[in-house]
Amino acid sequence: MFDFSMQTMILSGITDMFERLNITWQGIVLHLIALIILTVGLYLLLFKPVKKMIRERQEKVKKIEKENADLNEEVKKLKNSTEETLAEAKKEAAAIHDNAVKVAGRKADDIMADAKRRAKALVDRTEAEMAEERRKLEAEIERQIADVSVSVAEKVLGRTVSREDNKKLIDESLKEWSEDEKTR
Amino acid sequence: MKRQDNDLVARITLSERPDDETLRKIVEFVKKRGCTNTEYSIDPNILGGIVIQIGDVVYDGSLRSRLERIRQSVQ
Repeated sequence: MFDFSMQTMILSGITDMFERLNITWQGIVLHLIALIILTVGLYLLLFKPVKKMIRERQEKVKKIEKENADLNEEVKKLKNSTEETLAEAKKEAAAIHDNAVKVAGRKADDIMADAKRRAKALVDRTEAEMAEERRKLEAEIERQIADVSVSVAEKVLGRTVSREDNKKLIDESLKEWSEDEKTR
Repeated sequence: MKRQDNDLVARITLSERPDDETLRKIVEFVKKRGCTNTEYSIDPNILGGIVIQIGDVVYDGSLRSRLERIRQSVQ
């Protein structure tokens, strides 16, 4: 709590100091007006554009961040899609490989079966040809044996058929032909 | 006696000349088949037996033909 006399002393002291510094209340008012004008001018000419620029920067940064986020999301989706595609491609490749192995196996089996069939046919044909050749050879041998036998028989008979044998042969033939004609 | 064109001739082939009895049987055989004439020939190649041809009919009782039949049956 100030004493009245003390207040008076402070006021007189301030007044005295203002007088010594040549400061008047008009000057203070003018300074205040100048300060207000300066403040308003700074606000209009500097603070507002800077604020606008900062806001634009912030919006731009937000936009870039959003674009980055979108891009990251898209990259992530693309990555996932790529991985899925890759997995599907791997699966498809495995299926194609398995199918190719099966088809190759079947073809190999077919080729083997065909080769066996051809080999068997060849063996059968060869055996048949051999059998045919053998049969022909046996027939030829039999024919030659028969020829030789008949030739030998002819030579032997040519020397050994007696008149009686010949007479008997003729009688038999005549009798046989006569009986044949009777039975017809 | 001149032979007629329509006379049936029996052509008889033998390996040797037959005796009279056999000859009689042969003549009897061919007469029964309408032959009025006979022609004899001797061919040792038939080996034995007799071959008689009357027109288109051939009676082959030769030993050679019998051997040939045996050979064909063997083959």
